[in-house]
Amino acid sequence: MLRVLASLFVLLAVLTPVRAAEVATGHARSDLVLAREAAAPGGTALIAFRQQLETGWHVYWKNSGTTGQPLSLTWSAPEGYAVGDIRFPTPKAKATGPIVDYILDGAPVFFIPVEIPATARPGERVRVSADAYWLICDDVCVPEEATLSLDIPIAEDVGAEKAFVAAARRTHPTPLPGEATFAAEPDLLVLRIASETLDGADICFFPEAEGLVRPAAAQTDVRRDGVAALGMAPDFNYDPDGLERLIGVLRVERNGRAVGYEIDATRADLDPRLAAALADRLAGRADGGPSSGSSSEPVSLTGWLLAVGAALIGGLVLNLMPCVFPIVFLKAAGVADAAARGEAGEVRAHALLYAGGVLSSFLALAALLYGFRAAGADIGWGFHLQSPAVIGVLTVIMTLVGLHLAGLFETGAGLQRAGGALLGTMGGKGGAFLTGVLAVALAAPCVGPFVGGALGLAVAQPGFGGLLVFAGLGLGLAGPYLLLAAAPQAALVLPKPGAWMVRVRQALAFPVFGTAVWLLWVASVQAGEIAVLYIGGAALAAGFAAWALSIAPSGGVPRRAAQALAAVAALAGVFALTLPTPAPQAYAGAAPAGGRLQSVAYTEDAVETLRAYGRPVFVEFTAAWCVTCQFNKQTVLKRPAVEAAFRAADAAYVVGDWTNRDPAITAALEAQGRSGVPLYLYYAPGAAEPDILPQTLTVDLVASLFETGSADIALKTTP
Amino acid sequence: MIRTTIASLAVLALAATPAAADAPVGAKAPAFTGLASDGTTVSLADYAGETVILEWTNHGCPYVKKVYNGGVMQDLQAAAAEQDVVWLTIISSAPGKQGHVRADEANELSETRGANPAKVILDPKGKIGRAYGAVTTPHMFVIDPEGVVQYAGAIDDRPTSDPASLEGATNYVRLAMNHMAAGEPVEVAQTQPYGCSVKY
Repeated sequence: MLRVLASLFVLLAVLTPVRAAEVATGHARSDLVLAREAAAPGGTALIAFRQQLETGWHVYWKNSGTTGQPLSLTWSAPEGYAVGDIRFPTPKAKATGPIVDYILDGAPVFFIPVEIPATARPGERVRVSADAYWLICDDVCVPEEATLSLDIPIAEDVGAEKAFVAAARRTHPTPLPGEATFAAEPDLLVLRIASETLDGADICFFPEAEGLVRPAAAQTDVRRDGVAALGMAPDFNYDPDGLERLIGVLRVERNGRAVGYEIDATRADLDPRLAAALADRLAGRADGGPSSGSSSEPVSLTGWLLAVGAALIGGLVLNLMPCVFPIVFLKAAGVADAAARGEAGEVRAHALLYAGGVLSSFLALAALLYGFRAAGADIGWGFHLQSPAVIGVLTVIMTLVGLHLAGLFETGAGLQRAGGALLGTMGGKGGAFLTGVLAVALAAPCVGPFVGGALGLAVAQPGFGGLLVFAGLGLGLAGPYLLLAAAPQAALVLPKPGAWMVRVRQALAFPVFGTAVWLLWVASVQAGEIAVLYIGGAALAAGFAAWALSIAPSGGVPRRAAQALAAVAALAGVFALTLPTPAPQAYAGAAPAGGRLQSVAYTEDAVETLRAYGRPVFVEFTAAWCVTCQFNKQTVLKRPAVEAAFRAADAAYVVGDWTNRDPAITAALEAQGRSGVPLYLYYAPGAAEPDILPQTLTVDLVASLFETGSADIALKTTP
Repeated sequence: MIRTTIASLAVLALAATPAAADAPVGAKAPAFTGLASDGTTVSLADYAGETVILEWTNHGCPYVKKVYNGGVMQDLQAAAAEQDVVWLTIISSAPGKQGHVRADEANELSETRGANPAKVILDPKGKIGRAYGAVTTPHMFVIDPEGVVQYAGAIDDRPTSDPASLEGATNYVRLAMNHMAAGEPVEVAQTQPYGCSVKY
């Protein structure tokens, strides 16, 4: 055993390519490279300090905000080589409670200019080295350090800029195409920007000086015709009379894409009414800001037909998904029961009601989705599962369904008919409708093969066509029962009801409880461990209430007592669900201990930069609530063979986590014509476009990606 | 993203507005009552008429380790005790977060670190921390006998966790303590605190 491990270790060591001068520290990989092939005597060369940060971890901008510490580089260079200041990429704000930090994540590239003396001789190589020190944090902070060195070849011909430089430059602020001035009021600092690039974008100013602007205070702006006045709350080092220049970076973000502009504002007077309006807003109301609508190309009739067809098949397949199957089985039991009693009319009614429940839920979800999107929310399919409250309600329902199946309580219609009457006091027919609703609510995380593309189209193209796609999905899901409604006698081929049904019913309680456990885990990922307590408490209270109601004799004082008890328990459950949960947390995925594959958090910039390094890039868009995603992660992406293939190819592993709302990821999904997860992309080195991988991955497929250099062959060899 | 950020910032700003005033220099220090690691209940009011130093700490934080491993905090605590200045160490880490300790663990920490605060106050809900706007560990406040904040900010002028930085550093708290003992105004009254974020 030991020997096997040892040889595995050696194999890994051999397979892991060592990039020139790259240093791996606990949560980052860093290297030092020249932007061009060489440096010319008397010229200025650009050095890049490149980092890849582990998912969930960040480093700090030069003004780190409330807490944190920026990168520091202490250089040793030969006499005459003057190394300049670090140029930082555009930062973003990260809020944790009362703390707002100015951070960098993903794969930041820092540029450092170095002046080459005129006396440098072409042909020689000059070594510079840097003691790098940075603070890297997720929830906790770890200082990391590394000594990196770089040999600079001296030549008259410095060559072209390397490919990564252009990509990295896009993450850096550029000069503002316009004018910037500022006004310093006693309790208000106002930056006034005249620029056409601001229309429809969110803006945020990051001052270079510490103690000037309170990082944790809201910034608010008033805009008209390309002119924005951005009001900020001053911090302790603010001197309204002495401030002569306001220097920093303006981050402009539109549809999840951000650019930075260098700001060096001079002093100018401000319209006092504007100042008053801004101060007013800063004191209270927040500005939501209108959202810009997205435009997309019209879709052909064939495109729509294909999409609806795909949705129909996808809906049909949904019936077999683990989250939906127990519900579907129950429905089948109800139908078989009715058929056995020869009640063709009832079979038809059940099937139609169930289909109605499914269809109307899909259409309602579609309407909600379109409505929210029209109102400017950046959401996609599965959005309702991004809310811990919805997860909580579903957990409670699942618990009730499970207890009911296990036989803790009955819903009044008798054991034989219980399969059809799922919920509470609803009769058999209402239950059939509700079963349909429930099936849809639980289907979203299981959206699997065939559906991704169709839903992407539907979400991007609101209107009749989009609704048809959703309806197609519903018809597919309800398909088998609609067939039954058309030919009720077919239900007779279903096994005859009998004592066995009780056992099957009890057995089915377990997958339902399993679903509840999984939902609880999702909630814990979204809202922290306290959510488990609240939702667990709510489920307990609801279960108790249902039981109390079911054992109470009809009429009289005991009945009323039971009702009162049930009401108290239900209220307690509702109270537990409405308790405040902590702010959503990023889901990094359960990471196995040991030399695991480090992933980089998704940003468009990170992907661009990593591609520009010339490395293969694998992008995974996932969510904790997405069963298909988790299945792929556990059965494929975390397998040693896959990790080894990543290492052997030195492939970058980028993860976009959509467990909570994230407009940047929504935008990335839409760019590939999708509206939900999972989505897997593979960028072969040098490829202009990614290969879109199937939603169900296999180990062979992922491992062979890097061998063939493209997904084309890999896809063809996959059954 | 920014929209959400701004929205959440706005919400934060609203929620934190009382805390936005925090404990600025020259203002009355917010009153508080908390449970100390020795089982007693401590209020700021208990120390009316005395100079009080508040120290936010988190023993897992590399910046805190710098000052404790270098003996800086312990020396300062000893100097405070000599001048009859009350030293209150406050731990605002939430349960499950870095730096959160039970009372017995807090006492053990004081012993192993050779720390000598008058009290260690456990603030797992972060109420005192938020009232003062404590954002980093360490984050220091010096309160005069009238209950007015005279210093707020960093422990010294070297915002790094590198132990070598202690050499020749200017300790702002010692400076404030000395000025106050001499009856002079505090020269550097507010600085940018540095360190790990308080794990609320």
